[in-house]
Amino acid sequence: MSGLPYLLRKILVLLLFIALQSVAIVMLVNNSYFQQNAILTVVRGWQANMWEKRSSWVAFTNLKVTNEALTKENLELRTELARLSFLKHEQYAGTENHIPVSDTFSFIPALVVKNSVNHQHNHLIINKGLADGVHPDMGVIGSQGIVGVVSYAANHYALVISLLNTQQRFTAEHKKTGTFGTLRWNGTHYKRALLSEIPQHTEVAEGDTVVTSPFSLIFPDGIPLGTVTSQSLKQGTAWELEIELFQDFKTLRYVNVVCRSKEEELREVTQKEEEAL
Amino acid sequence: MNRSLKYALHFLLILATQLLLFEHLDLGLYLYPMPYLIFLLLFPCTYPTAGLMLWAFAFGFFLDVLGGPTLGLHTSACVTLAALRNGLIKTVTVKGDLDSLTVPGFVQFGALRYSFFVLLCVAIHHTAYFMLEAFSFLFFWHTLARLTCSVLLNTLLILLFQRTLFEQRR
Repeated sequence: MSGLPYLLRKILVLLLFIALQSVAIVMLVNNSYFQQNAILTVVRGWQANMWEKRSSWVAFTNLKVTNEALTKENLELRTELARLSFLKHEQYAGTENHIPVSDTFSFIPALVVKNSVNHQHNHLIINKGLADGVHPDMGVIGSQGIVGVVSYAANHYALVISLLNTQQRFTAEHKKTGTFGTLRWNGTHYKRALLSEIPQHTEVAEGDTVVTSPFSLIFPDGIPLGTVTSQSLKQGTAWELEIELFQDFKTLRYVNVVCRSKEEELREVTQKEEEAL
Repeated sequence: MNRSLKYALHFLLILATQLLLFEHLDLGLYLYPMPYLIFLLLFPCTYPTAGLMLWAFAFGFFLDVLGGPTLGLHTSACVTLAALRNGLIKTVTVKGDLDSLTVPGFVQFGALRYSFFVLLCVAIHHTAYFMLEAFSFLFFWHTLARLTCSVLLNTLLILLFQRTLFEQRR
């Protein structure tokens, strides 16, 4: 021992001290519940802390995967919801075939069997026809807005002129001011439409909602259609608003045909109006 | 007498006394008689720290196994004291006073210095012991009271034994 350098000797002594102390502490911990518990409490605390940090880090790095999974699940749930609501409609349909919504309107649930969004004059075919009470000139709505209007009805199928048809016009109104105008597709994008003939004095802002108008004879009023994304003045007299539609025509599957009660009387009145002109 | 034999004899005698007498002496919660520390104080001043720690470990271990309430308590405290004892001697004594065979004592250190030295040694050992025994600061004042009382008692006991039994005449 005396032959070794001073520093080395000190280190050896220190190591010996640590070793002996460790043995003593290990004995202490192994043989006494109290001390064991006290040490383990501290150690477990550290461990829990570390595990928590690690798991929060892992969760953060996995956010992308989680988001994708959630999106997928969301989609499945939406699909299921739509299916169930359709089944519910079917149930109603089984009894009466008409779901009364108000005194004026009732719905006939239908399934879209053919649809297109990539032409200028798009059409849909639905699986309900004359036998189910579907007649030409009835409105068709989806879950998030209007879809179109029935142009021809066979016994069990009907042809619907889609909103995505540059020749079709609907009446819609700017919800905040109640000003109505003409809604038509702009022919370029299946989520975009134009609301024109809004008077120049109307105060319109981006994000305003556009709903169906009470002056429409084929749709219930107040169905939200979309939001304003931009506005431009046409011929110096009226706004033309670009609308981003809520309804996604690409995923359209379940629709409702809108029946107006006392339709015959209404038709009679409109005929008189035309005659008067 | 062979020195190692003398240490072994001290070892057995002091261990036996502690186990048979002092462990059974009930002086209340605040007084724990542990005069066995004198075993570590009887080694020469220049005895290697490593050897001292090994002796301390063995002593504490036997004490724990044969009589202590909790295994490892005395062992840990003894090893702590053994590690610090030689440093304390250097602090307490005047440089150059010591030769290799001097054993700490009243005559060698002077009464005041020796008492102070014993007090420090007992304080170190007892701090380690009582803190390990309590193992929390929850009852800190209680622990501190036990520590202080026992330190005073054992310092007195060790000084007494040193004076009566182990004092070396020059």
